[in-house]
Amino acid sequence: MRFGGSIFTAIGDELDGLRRGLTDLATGMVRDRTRFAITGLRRSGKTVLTTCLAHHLLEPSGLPFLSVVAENRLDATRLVPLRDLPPFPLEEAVAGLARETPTWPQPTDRLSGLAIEILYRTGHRLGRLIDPTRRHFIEIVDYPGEWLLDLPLLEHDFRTFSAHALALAERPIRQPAAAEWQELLKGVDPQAPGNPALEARLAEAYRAYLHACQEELGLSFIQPGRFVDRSKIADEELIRFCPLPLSSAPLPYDSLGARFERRFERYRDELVKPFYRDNFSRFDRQIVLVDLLTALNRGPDHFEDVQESLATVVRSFRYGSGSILTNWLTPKIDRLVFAATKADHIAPSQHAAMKQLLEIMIAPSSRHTRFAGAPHEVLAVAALRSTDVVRTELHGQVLSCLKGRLVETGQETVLFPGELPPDLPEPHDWTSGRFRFRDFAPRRLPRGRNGAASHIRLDQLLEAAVGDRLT
Amino acid sequence: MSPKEPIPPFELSPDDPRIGAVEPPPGARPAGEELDPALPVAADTAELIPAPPVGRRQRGIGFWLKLSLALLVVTVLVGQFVLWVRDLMDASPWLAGPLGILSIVAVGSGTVLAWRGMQRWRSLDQRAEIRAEIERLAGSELHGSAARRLEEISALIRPVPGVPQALARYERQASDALADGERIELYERMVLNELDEQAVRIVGMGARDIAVLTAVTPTGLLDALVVLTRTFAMLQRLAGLYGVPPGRLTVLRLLRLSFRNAALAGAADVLAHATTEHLGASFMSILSAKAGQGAGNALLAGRLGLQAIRLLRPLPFVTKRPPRLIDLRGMLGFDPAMPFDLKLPGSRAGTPDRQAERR
Ligand SMILES: Nc1nc2c(ncn2[C@@H]2O[C@H](COP(=O)(O)OP(=O)(O)OP(=O)(O)O)[C@@H](O)[C@H]2O)c(=O)[nH]1
Ligand SMILES: [Mg+2]
Repeated sequence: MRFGGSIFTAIGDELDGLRRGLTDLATGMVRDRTRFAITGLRRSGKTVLTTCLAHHLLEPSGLPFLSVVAENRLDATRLVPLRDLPPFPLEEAVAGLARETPTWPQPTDRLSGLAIEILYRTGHRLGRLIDPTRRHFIEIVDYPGEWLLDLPLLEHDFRTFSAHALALAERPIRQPAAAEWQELLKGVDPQAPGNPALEARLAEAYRAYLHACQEELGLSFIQPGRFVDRSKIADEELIRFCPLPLSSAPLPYDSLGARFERRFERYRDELVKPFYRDNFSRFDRQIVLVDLLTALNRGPDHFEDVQESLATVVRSFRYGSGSILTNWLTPKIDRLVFAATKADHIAPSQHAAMKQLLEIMIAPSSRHTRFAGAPHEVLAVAALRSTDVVRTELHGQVLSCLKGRLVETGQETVLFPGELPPDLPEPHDWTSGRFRFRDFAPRRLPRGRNGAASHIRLDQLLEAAVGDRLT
Repeated sequence: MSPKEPIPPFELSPDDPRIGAVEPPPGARPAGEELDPALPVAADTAELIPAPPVGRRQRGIGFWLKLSLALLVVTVLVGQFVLWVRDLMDASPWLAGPLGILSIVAVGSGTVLAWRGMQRWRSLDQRAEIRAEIERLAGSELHGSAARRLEEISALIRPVPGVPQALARYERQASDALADGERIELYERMVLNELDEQAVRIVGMGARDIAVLTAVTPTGLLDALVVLTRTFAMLQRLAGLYGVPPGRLTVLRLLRLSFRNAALAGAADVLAHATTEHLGASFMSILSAKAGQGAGNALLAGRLGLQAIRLLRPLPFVTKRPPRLIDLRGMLGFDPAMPFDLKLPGSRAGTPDRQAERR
């Protein structure tokens, strides 16, 4: 054992390098693209993240934690259109953020996508011999957050969907909004023959209930999503149904129940399935965005609502680390990042607590993904940092305050944003008024080479999501 | 976080006098901001620090024996000297006056020199202390003292050529949102990586020189001399590279500590070149015995150099592992893990060492 440690680790390293070189060679054709599943409920920051990721990647500066950049191996990047999807309005979004008084992008109302082609040099010794310069495509799809909660419908039939939706409407927070629709339901017999006028009334009442949940109550668990989103549906009939209290008796062909059931199935099969098949089934890396602060602002019911929505959404994806070949045929997400967005709305000293709280919040989701064999990472990020930190001395304490322009007033202000609990909030935390995180208007997106201060951990997010593909 | 009630959010008017300045944005910090390089480490963290590889050891009875003997000798000498001067004074005041002044000057300057030596001597201890502190902060998600510690380090290594530029790059990229652990990681990547690469090159070249020189020197005595002087020069360059003043005392201490740590890392490794003699009968005799010795010496020097890097580096290795013999491969001209483990006598084992000889 004279050379004990050194030689065995050395041999191990060599083998590891060789193995990687070989897999690289074998998968050179296959693994040249990463399709990001940027997953986030509405207003969680998907569009802003997509815009900023693309912006920073296209002018690669200010990404010191991204290995390719840090190791100086990045040669060039460019934007390429994504096959089969309308282009993401990047220029528009960037222009909006680079204006004199920058504005956040509008809520998304349609599907779009972009790809970024990255030309880089590999860092592996063996790989360098084989093929030193490589290219990799990062593909991002942007969509309205409402659509996300449609994915779980794929697992449902009309009966289970109805049962679940009716139970949900009984919850205290939703019940007032649902009252009108529930009232209407009382006089309805699913077995009786349907008529278009009643159907339209029912569907409209349900839509109004969902709309109230979303707009007035700010809830996330809204199913089906197209009832409330802003995009136009070609065939209005697809959304002319609502959940019904069904017995186990079979439904006559022309009954209200059967007609709704058929529309539900059409909705599921004609709207949701293609969306899933064409976009969501091809992802192999996932970034789950969570707007933790807004959830805290709104209270315990919303917090749970977000938690539940995420857990439900996550179950619609395929996870696992299958073999190279099976992964190629049916891609699986083999790595995820959970990111708490808008981390610039709190002081950096609170990021550790934010991360911890997020970890707890996503526990129901991450349990699923972890069991499927996909490791995850948790980060507190801000795609576009809109605040500065100012130290302020108050009552003998030094507090980290934020300076920025508030969305509501448009005025520059300094405020102490409050503190985050590193654990689930206690009941009295919710009522004590300690969660009042404010929205800041964007600061100008920097042009040129000084990007590191314009985001928080965007580079670490990228590194966690694709770093290993760019080695 | 605090046991007290959390402070609820509140807004201040923008011209509130209590509002401090915006945290210095990255890159805005004046470049030459110096810090006291000898800042003491907080005492209360002592338990958390893993035992530093350098530093005070337990003082055994031997230490006290040596100390008391030394004091005894010094007292006797001083007493003798004083008596002698007094006798001289009686005999010839003319001579005694200047002699007294001279001796005072000698003692004074000697003390200053010794003090400086002590200071330099301490520079390795200081590195160990900073390393221990950084080790404690690495991976932390809090916003603690890492920024300040790293500035101390920056002050230490700023004189090294190329470092100011790297530091400027780091300052530009380090946003104030980074937690301690992230900051340290970034610093290691952006500032120390380059130094480490240079250091490994210095060690590799030094080891190769030793291999070549000892392969061609005719006698063992000359071998020893070459190994000693070249290793010394190598350590001196390494010290300079990491911003440690490369005084003779410091380098000697570095040599000793490197030797000790290398021995701790695996006593057999250090004695590797001694084993070449044992192995001589089996396969080394087939090769040129001298070339074998050269390779052995090179390995020894390489090991010492790598240990020295660990002792000199102001940061522990956080994101990457310390350089190993393997990393010297390209420069050494033979695979450092190969020559003594290959039990196969003959052809293949021979080539690497011959290569070393050829260079
Ligand atoms: N301060 C700050 N605010 C952000 C950031 N990202 C998003 N926001 C805020 O969150 C809002 C929603 O962001 P979007 O990116 O439009 O959200 P989305 O997920 O695309 O929403 P939908 O398109 O409705 O699904 C923005 O209007 C901003 O107010 C960020 O990095 N920093
Ligand atoms: Mg959007």
